[in-house]
Amino acid sequence: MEKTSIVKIQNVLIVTLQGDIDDHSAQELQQEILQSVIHHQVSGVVIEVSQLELVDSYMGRILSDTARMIRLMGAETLLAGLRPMVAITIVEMGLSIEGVKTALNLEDALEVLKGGRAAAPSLGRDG
Amino acid sequence: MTNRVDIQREPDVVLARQAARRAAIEMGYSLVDQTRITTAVSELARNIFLYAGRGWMEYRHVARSDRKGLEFLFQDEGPGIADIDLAMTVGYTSGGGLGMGLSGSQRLMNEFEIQSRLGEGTTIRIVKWLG
Repeated sequence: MEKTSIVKIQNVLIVTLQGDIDDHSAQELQQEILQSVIHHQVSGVVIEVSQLELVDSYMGRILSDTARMIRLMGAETLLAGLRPMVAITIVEMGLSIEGVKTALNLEDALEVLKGGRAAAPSLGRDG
Repeated sequence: MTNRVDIQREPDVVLARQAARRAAIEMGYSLVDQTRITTAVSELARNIFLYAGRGWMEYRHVARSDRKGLEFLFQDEGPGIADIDLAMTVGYTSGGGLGMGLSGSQRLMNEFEIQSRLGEGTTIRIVKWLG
């Protein structure tokens, strides 16, 4: 949890998730991200997950909920850098992480937010 | 080899999955299988915390004919599961969860077995075979 960072660059909030995040910390982080969106008045959020070794149903729901909350607030969220192993596990389990747009990595995500590149369509039915 | 992780507080779920990952790495599972095992363990350890309040996970090496594997047992003395088929249904939850824990972990593992008695508790056994 202490390894997670939130940095504002220009108009974008970059949230880097790292390590083994317990459920309570994930929930706290969700609130912290939402507060930061308002505090910094950003139009986009990139959640960088390339260091996450696991996304189970709880973390999947937190990510999906956070993206939907940020959208309600008026900003856009991109999930960037999901590891292949984690993607495999999510699909095999049958999890649907709804309403979240994705990008291969942080650089791509920033390009998308600048409008230079199309994001992968959001996952799930309400995208 | 038998190891045990007590699950009484939420951070114990993290300890359980870290123990599972270490065991999977030691046995030489592929990165994908390490992730499958750790994710399934995370779901089932969380279920103990959510539904029974406390319980424990035990894990050990198992062998059948020429195959080796890792077996995890999740045990609690909680309220038990009234309808196992219903609990296994994708999307069904009795406790505000996502309803993916049991069905999801079953899909990630090779073997999955539940025994539950109302008022006495639940035991879930999962196995992943190596290779």
